[in-house]
This record gives sequence, structure tokens and C-alpha cells, in this order.
Amino acid sequence: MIDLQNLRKEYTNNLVAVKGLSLKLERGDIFGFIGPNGAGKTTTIKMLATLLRPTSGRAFIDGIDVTREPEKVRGIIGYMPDNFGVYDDIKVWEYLDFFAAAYKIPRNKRPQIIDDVLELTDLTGKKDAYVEELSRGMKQRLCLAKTLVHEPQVLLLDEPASGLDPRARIEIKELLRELKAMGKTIIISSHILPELADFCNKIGIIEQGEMIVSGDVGEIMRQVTGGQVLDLRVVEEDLEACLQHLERLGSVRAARVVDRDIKVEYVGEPELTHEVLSALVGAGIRVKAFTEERTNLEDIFMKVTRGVVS
Amino acid sequence: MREPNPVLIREWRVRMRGRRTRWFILAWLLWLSGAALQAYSGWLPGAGAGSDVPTELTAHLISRSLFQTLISIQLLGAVLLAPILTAGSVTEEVERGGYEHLILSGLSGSEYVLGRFAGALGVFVLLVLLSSPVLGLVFFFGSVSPEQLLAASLLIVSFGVLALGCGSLASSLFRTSPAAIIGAYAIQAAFFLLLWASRFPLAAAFPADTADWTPFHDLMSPMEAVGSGEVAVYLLAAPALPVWVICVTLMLSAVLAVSVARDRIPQWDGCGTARSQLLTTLWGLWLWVGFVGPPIHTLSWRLPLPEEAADLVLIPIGACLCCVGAAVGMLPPFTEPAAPGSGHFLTRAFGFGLVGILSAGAITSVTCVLEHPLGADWSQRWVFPAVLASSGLAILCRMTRGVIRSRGNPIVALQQTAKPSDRSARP
Ligand SMILES: Nc1ncnc2c1ncn2[C@@H]1O[C@H](COP(=O)(O)OP(=O)(O)O)[C@@H](O)[C@H]1O
Ligand SMILES: [Mg+2]
Repeated sequence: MIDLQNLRKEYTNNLVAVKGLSLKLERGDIFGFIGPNGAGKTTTIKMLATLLRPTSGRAFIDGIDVTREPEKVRGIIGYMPDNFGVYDDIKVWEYLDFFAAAYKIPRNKRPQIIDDVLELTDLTGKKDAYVEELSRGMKQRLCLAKTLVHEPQVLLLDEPASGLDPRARIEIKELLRELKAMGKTIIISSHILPELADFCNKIGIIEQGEMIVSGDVGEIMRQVTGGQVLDLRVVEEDLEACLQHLERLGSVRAARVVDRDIKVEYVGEPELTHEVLSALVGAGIRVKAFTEERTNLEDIFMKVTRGVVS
Repeated sequence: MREPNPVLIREWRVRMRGRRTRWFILAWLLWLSGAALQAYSGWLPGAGAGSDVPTELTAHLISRSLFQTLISIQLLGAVLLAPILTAGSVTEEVERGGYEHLILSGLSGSEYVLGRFAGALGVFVLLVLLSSPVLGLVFFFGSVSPEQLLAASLLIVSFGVLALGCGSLASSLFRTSPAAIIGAYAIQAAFFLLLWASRFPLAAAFPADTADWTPFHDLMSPMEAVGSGEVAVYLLAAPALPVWVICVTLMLSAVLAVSVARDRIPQWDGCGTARSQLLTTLWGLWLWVGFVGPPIHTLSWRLPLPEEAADLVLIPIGACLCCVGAAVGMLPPFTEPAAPGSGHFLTRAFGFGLVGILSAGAITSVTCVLEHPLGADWSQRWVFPAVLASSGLAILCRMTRGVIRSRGNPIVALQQTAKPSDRSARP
């Protein structure tokens, strides 16, 4: 659905904001684009949104070249900029009506579409309110509503949750989950990781214009930590025996005790983690709990950008 | 059926309902009425101006002074306030962050600029219409005919249209609204300077018997001083242009300004399209042929120069004006978000303002030189270098702009050095 090939952007002041980015996303992917401020996220997203011309390299959305046929691309993308803006003195529905009209949606279809997006963004009750009366979180959702009026297949969201309070963040997250369920392909950028942790299936970490890692969340975890982390809890007395036993297993690189749990660095086949458990149980070790530790984006982020971010 | 322009509908909804518009109209009417009252009170018995017994003559004078005051204020309003209505049309959208959405929605530059222009024009015409009851006061005192009032109102609308056009153009040239407003005034001033230098008989726009006291008369008087009386002769001898010619002139200029603005609506970080360059060149040429050429040419017979030599002066100035037009068309639009302190705006304002003022100044000085023939060799020595220097400066402006821009953005440069270049930490 989205294909970036060696995308590069040099600004007129000789600053290279994006240095040869490549990326491939399938339909329905939710891609978390993570990087510190000034890493080049906005620049990349703007190039995809046909708002900036890449210095070199190519980008395709649904097989359409963004520089060759920007008009076609514009019809299938919804872009939400980081500095969202709304006008004063205009009502919520008028605001959406204006953008729907700008997208050349026929007049008789507009009321239905406006009701739909208001429903989706949970703003139905604010239909006749003035935009300036909305809270910041509502404005953000209204901004998202406006990017949805033409039913885009691809959403490019630049820091959609920045500057919001926790409650508004959760509301945005829920909205994004709904969009995910609708099968939209989404690129969402952020410099804060927990924001993206839950609903992305792919992430990319960009830093100083270069994609350091990108791909499946679990895969990246394996790349970075060299494997998966298993969480074990055994009966106190069996702790020593368990550690010794684990060290003998070929699929385990290391095991260490954190609090009273054992963290196991597993480097074997991802589908065969249960073999570790059966081996331990077979050796008579009383296992109380055995879990695959959830991929922790924050860990990845800190590991990858160590020494560069802070 | 064709759908109405969405921008115009939005403008209509926002502006007509807006509290700001209502207060603005109220303030305007209060000011107008106050001025009328003040002009009238000067004639009241005991004020010392008129005689205690109102006569036909005082009524005549009152009506004239009322007319003069009200028309002057409206003209001032057109010239000073109208540019503000459109100067924000592009920049405001950029500042509010809605601009990118408009590009993405596929709304065309024409739709956008024309929608904003039409919305602003609506407000302006509404203002003029709402003022008409106050203006109608003059009829109580006779001596001003309805046709005269209508002609004056038409002229005010034309000036308003020109001012709105200047606002639109400035909005597509500058990065921020305040800059665009100043830019709009500068463009307008350059235009009037051009008219003034060409001694375009603006005063003739007014009915013959009122021409001697129209606001334009004051506008023209500095030229009279320069021309040591001879200009007055020229002015009087100038064929009185009918009001409609002047209205059409002003409106055509506005149309050209708006179409250039429309073509300059930035979509990609490129330069103005060939069409807008052609249009601006034509604009310069047209102003030249229409306004500047004839008076200079008329004067040339007074010079101890052969007629061909005078034409030799005309051609480089015309070319210079065309260069100005083309330069405006070539200015790159601003798609990339404003990098703070890039100096982009400053150099652009500087370059554009300088080019406009220089060319207008060049024309003025040339006409003055022609007016005061200090001997054939004197004008020959100065006119040509002056023309050459002004075109040279115009080119230099474009170059300095490039130089200052390439020197880059100090803030970005700072960020670059602040970032650690060490990336051995990366796994
Ligand atoms: N219009 C511009 N002109 C020059 N440099 C820019 C411009 N926009 C952004 N930059 C620079 O490009 C780099 C990347 O910026 P950006 O893409 O906005 O980063 P992010 O969105 O990841 O915070 C930054 O160093 C920024 O200063
Ligand atoms: Mg950003």
C-alpha cells in the first residue's frame, strides 16, 4: 500500500532532513513512526502527503507515485498535520461542510457524511457549537474528522495526541482503534512511545533523518534484544536448580533473576517457547508462572536511540 | 447544477455572522456620520463660517463640503481598509494550519483566491451601500446631482477593488499576514506613485465643477510644485477622462493582480508559472503603454531632442517595468513551513519594495528631467544611466535575495551543531 524507496529531502539551507528512507507497508498496517523531535518525521509524512517534493527517491501510495500524480494520491490520503488549525466564528458542521465541499462531495451527500464522521469522532452533540468553544481534545478530534470526510484509505497522522491531557489521549487512541478496525492503513508519528505501543503492528525508529530499525514489532524486539524475553516464576527452593537447568538449554542465551522472577533471554524458534516450559517441568522444577514478556516498545526505543536522544 | 464556491460560502457564513464585522460596520458608520456632522457644524449659525441667514450660496457650499468630506473618508477607507480584507487570504490560512488541507482537498488556486476576493468584495460593497444614507445627506442641500454621487460611489468601489486586488497579490507574496498587509500598502502605493508620476488625470474622474477641490487635487499638487506650474497646464490640457475609463482602469489592474495571485498559489516548492509571469509582464507593459508612455511622449516635443531619442528613453523604462512584472511572477511561493529567521520574508519584502519604488522613482525622475531640459546633453547624460541603474538594481535585488537565503538559517544551523554527531552508540 505504501512504498518508500530511498526517499531523501534536503531543505534549501542544505539541511538533510531525511536521508534515504525505505519502507514497505501492506494494506491495513498501522505503522508507528517514532523518533525524537527534529528527526524528520514531519518531513517524511509531508512528502508522502504530496506537500513537499522529495529531493530524490520515490514514494508510492497504492502504487501511485506521489510526485508524478499528486492529485490522484490526494484523493486517497487523509493527512493530519502536527499544528492542526481550526477557524473561529464557524460552527462544527459548517467547518466539515466546507472541507467536504472542497473535496467536491455533492451537496446532497454531505449531511450524511458529516453525521457519520461526527459520530465516529464522538462529536455529534457538538454539531452546532462554534469551533472556538471546543476543548483542545475536541478540536483535535474535529481535525481528525475533517481528514475523514472524503473516506481516505490511508491516514497520515502527525503526532495526533501531542499536547493532550491523558483523558483526551485515550479518546484519540480509541478513535484510532476504530479506524484500524475499519481497515485503514495508518502511519502515525510520535516522539512519545507509550502512545503507540498498543495498536501498531509495525514500527520504525527514525533518528537524524535515518531509519534505524523498522518492521514488525516482535521482529524488532528480536533484532534488538537478540531474542524474546520469557518471564518465569518458580517455587523459591527450585530457583537455583532452575537457573542451572536453563543454562543447559541451547535455545536460552542467558537467564537472570529480577526480583523473584527469572528473565530468560530466548533465542530459539519463536513458536517453540513452550519447549522451555516442558523441559523445566520434565526436570521436576515446580513452575508457578510462565509468560512471554510483552514487547516493550519503550525498551526498544531506549536501546536503539541510546545516547542520541537524551 | 454547478456547486457554489465553497470558500465564498464559508466567507459569507463567517463574515456576515461575525461579531467583528458587525462592530466594524457600526464603527465605520459612526465615523462617517461624525465627520458629516463636523463638516456641517462648521456652517451652523454662530460658527463663524457662514452668514447667520442661510442662503442659497451657503447651502451650495455646505453640500460641497459635505460631499468632499464624505467622499474623502470613503476613499481613505477604500485605500486603507480594503487591502486588509484580502491581505490575509492566503497567509491567514497558512497561519491557521488549514492551508495544507485545502491543497490536499484539490481546491484550485482560482477557486480559493476568487472565493476570498468575492467574500471581501461583498463586505466592501455592503459597507459602501450602508454608507449611502449618510451620503444622501448632501441632497438636502442641493447642488450635487445623484449622477455625481453615483459616479463618485462607483469610483470608490473601483478603488476598493484595486485595493482588494493588491491585498490578494500581497497575500501570495508574503509569508505572514502583517507582512502581507504592509506589502499590500506598498504595492498600492507603488501603483499610485506610478499614476501620479504619469500625471494620470485622476482629478478628471470628478465632475468638472468639483474637480478643483476633490481629494485628488491635493494628491496632484506636489507634482505641480515639481513642475513649477507647467504640470498644472498639462493637467488642465489633459483630456478629461470619463469616470468609467478610470473605473475600468482600476478594476482591470485589480483583475490582473488577482490572477497573478491565483497563479502563485503554491502547490509545490517551485516558481511562479509561466502564465503568471506572462500576465505580470503584460501588466507592467499595459500600465506603461496606458499611463506612463503618453505623457512622456507628449512632453518630448518640448525637448531639444529628436523624437526618436525620446522614444529611446521610453523603451528601456518600459522594459524595466516588464522586468518588475516578470520578477514578481518568478518569486518562489512558500510551500515549505516558515523556518524561523530564514530571512526569506525580509529579503523578499526588501527586493519587491525596492524594485517597485525604484521603478516608480525612475519614471518620476525621468519625467522631471524631461520637464526641465537643462540642455540636451544634460538629460542625455543622466536619463540613460538612471534607467540602466534602476534595472541593474532590480537584478541586484534578485541576487541579494539568493545570497542571503543561501547563507541559511542561523537557528537551524545552531540545531545542527547542537546535535551530537557521534552515533557509535547505535546498535
Ligand atoms: N522548512 C524547513 N526548512 C529548513 N529546515 C527545516 C524545515 N522544516 C524542518 N526543517 C528541519 O528538518 C529537520 C527535521 O524536521 P521535522 O521533519 O519537522 O522533524 P520531526 O517532525 O521529526 O520533529 C529538523 O532539523 C528541522 O529543523
Ligand atoms: Mg514533527
